Amino acid sequence: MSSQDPAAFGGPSFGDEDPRQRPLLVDGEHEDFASVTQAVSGIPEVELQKTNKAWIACFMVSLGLLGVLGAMLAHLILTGVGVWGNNNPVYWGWPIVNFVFWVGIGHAGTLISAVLFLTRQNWRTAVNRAAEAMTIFAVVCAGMFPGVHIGRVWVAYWLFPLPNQMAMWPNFRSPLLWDVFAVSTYASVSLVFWYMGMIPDLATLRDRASNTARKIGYGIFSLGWTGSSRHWHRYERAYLLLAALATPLVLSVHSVVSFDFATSQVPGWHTTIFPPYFVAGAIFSGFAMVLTLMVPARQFFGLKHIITMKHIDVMCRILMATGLLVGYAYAIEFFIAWYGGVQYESFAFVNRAFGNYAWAYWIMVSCNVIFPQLFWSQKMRRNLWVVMLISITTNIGMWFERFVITVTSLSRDFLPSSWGYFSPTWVDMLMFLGSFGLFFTLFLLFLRFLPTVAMAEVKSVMPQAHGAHGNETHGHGAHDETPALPAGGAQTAPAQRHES
Amino acid sequence: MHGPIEIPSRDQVVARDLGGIAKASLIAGLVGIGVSVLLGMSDMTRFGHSMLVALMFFLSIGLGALFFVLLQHVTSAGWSVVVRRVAEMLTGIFPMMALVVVGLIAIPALMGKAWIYDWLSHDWVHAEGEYAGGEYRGLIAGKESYLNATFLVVRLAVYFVIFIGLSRFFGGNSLAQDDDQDPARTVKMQRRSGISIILFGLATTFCSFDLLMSLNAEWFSTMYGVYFFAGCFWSSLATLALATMWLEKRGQLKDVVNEEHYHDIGKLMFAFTFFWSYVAFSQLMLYWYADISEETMWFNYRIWGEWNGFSILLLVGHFLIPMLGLLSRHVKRRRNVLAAWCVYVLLFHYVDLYWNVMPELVNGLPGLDPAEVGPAFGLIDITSVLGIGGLFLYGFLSKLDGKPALAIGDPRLAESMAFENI
Amino acid sequence: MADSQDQELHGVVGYFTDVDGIKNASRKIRDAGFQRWDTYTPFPVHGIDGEMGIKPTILPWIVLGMGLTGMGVGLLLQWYTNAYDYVFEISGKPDWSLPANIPVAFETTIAFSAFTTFFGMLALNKLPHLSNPLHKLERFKRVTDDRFALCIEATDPAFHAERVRTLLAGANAEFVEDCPRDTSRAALPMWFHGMAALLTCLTFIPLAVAFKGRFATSDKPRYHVWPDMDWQRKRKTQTEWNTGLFEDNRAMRLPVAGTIPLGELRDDYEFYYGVAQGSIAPPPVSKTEVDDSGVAYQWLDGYPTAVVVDEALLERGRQRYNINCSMCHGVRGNGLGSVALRADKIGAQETGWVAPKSLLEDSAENYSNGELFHIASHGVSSMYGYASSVTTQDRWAIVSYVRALQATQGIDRLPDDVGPAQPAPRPEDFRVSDSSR
Repeated sequence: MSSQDPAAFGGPSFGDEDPRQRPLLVDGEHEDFASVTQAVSGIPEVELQKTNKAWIACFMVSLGLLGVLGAMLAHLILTGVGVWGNNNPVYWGWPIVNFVFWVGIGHAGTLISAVLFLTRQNWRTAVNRAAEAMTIFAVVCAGMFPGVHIGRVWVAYWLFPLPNQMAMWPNFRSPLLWDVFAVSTYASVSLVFWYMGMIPDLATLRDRASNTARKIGYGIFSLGWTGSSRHWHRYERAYLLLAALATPLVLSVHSVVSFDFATSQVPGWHTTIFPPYFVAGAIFSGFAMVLTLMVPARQFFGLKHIITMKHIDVMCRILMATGLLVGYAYAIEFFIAWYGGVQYESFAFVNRAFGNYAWAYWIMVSCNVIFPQLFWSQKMRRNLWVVMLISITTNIGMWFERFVITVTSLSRDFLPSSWGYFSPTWVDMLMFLGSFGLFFTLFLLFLRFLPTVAMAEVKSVMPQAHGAHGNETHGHGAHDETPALPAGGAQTAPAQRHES
Repeated sequence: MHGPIEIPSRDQVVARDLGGIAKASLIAGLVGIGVSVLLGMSDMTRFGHSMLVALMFFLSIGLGALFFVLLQHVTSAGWSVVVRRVAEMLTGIFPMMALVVVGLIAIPALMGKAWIYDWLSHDWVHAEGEYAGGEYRGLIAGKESYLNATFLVVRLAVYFVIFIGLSRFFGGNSLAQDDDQDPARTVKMQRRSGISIILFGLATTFCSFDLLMSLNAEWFSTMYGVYFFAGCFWSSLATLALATMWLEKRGQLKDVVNEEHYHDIGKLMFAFTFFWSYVAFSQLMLYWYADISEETMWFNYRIWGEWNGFSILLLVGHFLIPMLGLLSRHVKRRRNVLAAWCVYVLLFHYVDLYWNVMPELVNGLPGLDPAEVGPAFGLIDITSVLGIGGLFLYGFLSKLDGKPALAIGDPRLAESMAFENI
Repeated sequence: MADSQDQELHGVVGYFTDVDGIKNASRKIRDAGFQRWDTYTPFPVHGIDGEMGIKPTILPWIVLGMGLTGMGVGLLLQWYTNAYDYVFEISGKPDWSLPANIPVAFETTIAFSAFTTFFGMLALNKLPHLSNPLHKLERFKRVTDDRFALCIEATDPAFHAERVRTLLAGANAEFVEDCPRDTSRAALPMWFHGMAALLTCLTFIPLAVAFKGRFATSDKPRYHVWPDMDWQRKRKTQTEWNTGLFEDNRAMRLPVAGTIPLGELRDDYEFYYGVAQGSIAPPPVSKTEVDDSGVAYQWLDGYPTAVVVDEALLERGRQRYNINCSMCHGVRGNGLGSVALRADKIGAQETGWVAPKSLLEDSAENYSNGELFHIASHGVSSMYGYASSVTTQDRWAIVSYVRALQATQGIDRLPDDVGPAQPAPRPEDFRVSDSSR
C-alpha cells in the first residue's frame, strides 16, 4: 500500500521500517480474498501435462537421489553396518550426524506455526504451511538414520515397549529411548498440526475441484469442512491448544537429542548448556532450510506477493538471532571448559579448534557465526542471492556443527591409546546425499499437490478480514488512514495488519 | 475492536509527588542496611551472603526489566508500549545497585576480605594445610587469572557501564520522544537493540558467573547464565505487573492499561515458569546423570542433607504451583488474582536465589559441611532485603518522579491501547 | 411459500460479501431469536462468536484431563517396565530414577494432549461429515473462497421460509437461496458392506498368526533372515576343520612345544607354585600331598624370597582379601561372608551347598603357606580358583593377610593380655538385607 509517504510528515524517510505503519502482509494494490485463493489454489490445480518444467526437472533429480538412497539402504541392510566409516572409537559417525542435522531442520516448522503463533507474528501465515511440511519430511529423513543405525533393522520394533517372548523391556533410563519417544511424538504431533491447519484449505480445493479424482481426494481429506463459525470456534481453540502444546514439545525434542550427548561423560559432550544450545541451533538450521526452499518456490509458483520481501527480511533476522545464540553457546562452552579447570574438557575444546578436525570446526564457526552477520545490513537481507547463499552455508555449517560435536569428541577420548580418526566411506556420502532425495521428493510433491500457503490464515490477517468498524465502507480503502502523528488527540486504532 | 482511541494527554500520565515516597524508601533502605551491618558485625560472612541474596534479587529485577525493554524494541512490538515506560523506569535502579556492589563486593575484594568469595583469600586458594581441608585446590588455583580481586572489580565496572548505558540510552530516548514525538527515535532504538541485546546477554551471563557461580569456585555450569536470566525475566515481569497496577490505581495509567496487557504479561510469566523449570531440570539432570564428583557436589549438599526440604520447596513452589496456577486465562486477566501471583513469583524468585547462595555460606570453611548446616533464615536476611529494597524503590521512584508513566510519544501507542488478545 | 414446502427444505442461505455484512446479519438473526442457524466463513472471523452467542468450548478441559492421564501413563509405564516387571541395574542409576523418567513422561503428556486436541475438536464438530446438503449448492462453494454465508435451518422452531428470506434480504445479503433437503440415497451399496466386512476379517489374520506364534511350540528351526550372520565363515578354536591342510584336522595350530608367553616364565617355584625350589610343581587342581606318580610336593612353609612381607604387603592383602574373598569367608575370615549368610538364610545346605570354610579353624591354620597359596590359586572343593583374576603377587599378599587374620583372631592362640576371647559369631547375629543386590 503506497498511500502513506513517510516523508510527508517532514521527517526522515523510513522505508518500510516506519514505526507508524505496519507493512501489509500481502503485497499489491488489488489483492483480495479471491486473488489469494486463486494464487495458492492455482498451483495444485494445474493439469499434470502442464506442470512447471523447473518442477519436473527438480523432481527427476530428487527421484534419482531417492533411488540412490534406496540402493544404499539395500546395500547397508544386506551387508551390515560395516559399510559405513564408523569405527572404534568413533562409533557414532555420519548416521548420527545426519540424524541430528535433519531433526534440527525439522524444528523450524513447528516453531513457525506454534511459537510465532503464540507471539502473534502474523507474517508466519505465509510460510507456516510449507515450513510444517518441511518439518515432517525432515523428521522422516531423520528417523531413518537411527532406524538403520541399529544394525538389525528387522527388529527395530524392539525400540518400543512391546511385550515380547524374552520378557524384556527397553531401558527407560537411557536417553536413546527418550529419543524414540520424543521424535515419534514430535513427528505425529507435527503431522496432526499440519493436517489440521490444512483442512480448511483442502475444503477450498475440494470446492474448486473440476475433476472427480480431485473431488474425491480433497473431499475425503477435508472431512466435510463447511467453514461453520461454530466449527471455527472450536478449531481456533484447538489450534491455540496445539500451538501451546507444540511449543514446549519443540523445546523438548532437540533437548532430548542433546541429552543423547550431554548425559555421557565424554569431554565436549557433557555440558549443561547443550539443551537450549541445541534448540537454538535447530531453529537456526530450520530457518535456513525454510529460506533455501521458499526463496525459489515463491519465484517459480508466483507467490511473491504472499511471501514478500518483508517475510524474507524477518526470517533473515531470526536466522541471525539464532546464529548469535549458537555463537553464545560456543563461547560459553569454551570459557567454561577453561574455567572449569578439568583437563579433559579443556583439551576437548582446544582439540576442536586446533586439532586434526580444526578444518571442520572453522567451517562450522564461519558458516554459523560469521557469515550470518551479513544480515545486519538490510541491503543483504533484501538481496535474494545473498539470502540463498547464507541459508545454504548455514545448512552446511550446522551439519558440520553436529559432525564436530560427534566426531571430535569420540575420536579423542580419555585414553590416548584408543584415539582414532574418522573417514566416511562412499556409502556414508551417498546415503546422506540420498536423504536429500527423499526430502526433496516429498517436498516437491507437497508443493505440487497440496495448498502451499495457509490460505485461510493469510486471509484472516488481511485488512479486509477485520471489517470496517461498523461504517459501511470496507475493503482496502478504509484502512489507509494510518494515524497521523500521535499528537495526544484522538487516534483511530490502526487495523491489526502486522503485529510483531 | 474499539472505536477511536483516546490518547491521554501528558498531564494525565505524569507521575507526580513520588519524591516523598522515594525519600522514605531511601531512608528505610539506609536504616535496613545499617541494621544489617550491626547484626552482621560479628559474622561478616553471614552479612555478606545475606546482602548478596538481596542484591541479586533486586538487581535481577532490573536486569529483567532491561531485557524486557530491549526485547520490545528488537521485535518492534506493539502491544507492550503502554507498559514499556514502567520497565524503562525500573532499569533506573542500576546506579543504586552499583553503589551496593561497590560497597559490598568491590571494596572488600580490593581489601582482600574473603567474606563472600572465599577465592579472594590467597591462603584458601593455595593452602595445602588444614585451611583447605588438606587438599590442594587445583581446580581453583588454575583460574586465579580470572578469579582475582582486580579483575573482578574491572569486570563489575564493565557490566555496570553496560547496564547503566543501555538503561540511559533506551530510557532517555523514550523520554525524549514524549516531547518531540519523533518516530525516528523508535527506529533508532530498534536498530541499536540488536547489538544491545548481545551486550546485555554477555554482561548478564558473566555477572551471574562472577557474583553467584563463583561462590563455589570449584563448581561450573555452562547453563548458569541462562538459569540466572530465566529468573531475572520471571521476577521482573511480576514487578512490572505490580508497578503497573499501582500506577493504574494512582491514576497515571487509568484507561490505558487493561486486562489484555496483563494477560500478555501473565502469559510471559507462565512461559518463563516453564522455561526456568526447563533450564533448572536440564542442569540438574545432566549432572545427576553423568555423576562426576566435581559437578555433583554443588547439588549434593543442596539436595541430600539439611537443604533437602528447601530444595523440595523450590521444586514445588517455583515450578509445580505457579505452573498450574498461571495456566488459566482468567487468572491472568484479573488484576487482583494476578497481583497475588506476582507477589508469589517474587517470593519464590527470592527462594531460588537463597537456595543458590546460602548453602555456600559455610562451604570450604574448616569443619563445616553445607549439607549438615542447612538453611538458617534470620533477621539479617529480612533487614538486607529491606535495605536493598529501599534503595531499589528509591532508584525506581526517583527516576519516575515527574515523568510520564506512559510512553506518550511512541508511534505505536494507539496500537498498544487497542490491542486485543486472540 | 407454503409450510408444506418447508418440509423439503434443509434451510435458507444468505450470502454476504464481507465481514461486516456477516457480522451485522448474525447480530440480527441472533436478536430475532433463532437457534438452529450458523454462519459459514472462509476464515475464522474475529469477534463473530460474540455476535452469534457461541459459548466457549469445553475442549481445553478435556485436553487438560487427557494430558494428566498421559503423564500418569508415561510414569506408570516406566515404573512398571523398569522398576517392577524387569528390574535391572544400569549405569548405577536406581531402578526408579525420576530425573531420567521426566523426558518420557513429558512426551506422553504432550502426545496425549495433542491427539486429544485434534480428535476432540473433530468429535465436538461432528467431523468427518461428508454428506452435507449445503455442499450441493453451487454458490455455497465460494464460502471456502471469499464469500460469507448464513444458513437458518428448517428445523429451527421459529423457522418460516418466507420470513427468513425477507430477514436475510433485509440484512443486505448479496443473494438468498433455498437449500433443499438432501434426498439422495444415503445408504451405501451392498458390495461396499461386503468388502468392508471382508477387509476387516483379513486384518485379523496377522494378529491371529502372531497370537498363535506366541503360544504354540514348533520343532522347526527358526527362519534365518541373514544366514551369513548366523553361520559366519570362520573357524572357532578347538573345532575340527577337515580340509586336509593340517594332519591333526584342528582349526587352530598349537604353539611350538616349550613356548612360553612373554613374562610367563615360571622358574621361581616358590613364588609361582608355593613349593620349595627343587620340588616338583603340583598340578593345578590337585592339592593332595603326592602327585599321581607318588612324588610328594614340598609345600613352602614361609614366604618365597621374592615376596617381602611388610606393612605394604599386608595392606595390599587386606584390600585384595576384602574384594575377592570376604563375600564368602567374611571380612574377619570367620566364614560368615554375605554369600554364606544369604545361603544360610535361604537354606541352601539342603540343596548341596557347601558352606565356606572359616579360615580361623585349626585345619586352616595348619595349612602351610604354600598350600594356602595353592588353594587361593586353584580352589578347593566348591571354591573356585582365583589365579585368573588375582595376580601372583596379590595372592601372596592375601596369604599374608589371612595369616594376620588368624594371628589376631585365632581363638586358641589369643595372647593372654588381649582379654577374654569373644564368642564365635553365628549366622543369626547378622542382619541380612533381603535384597540380593
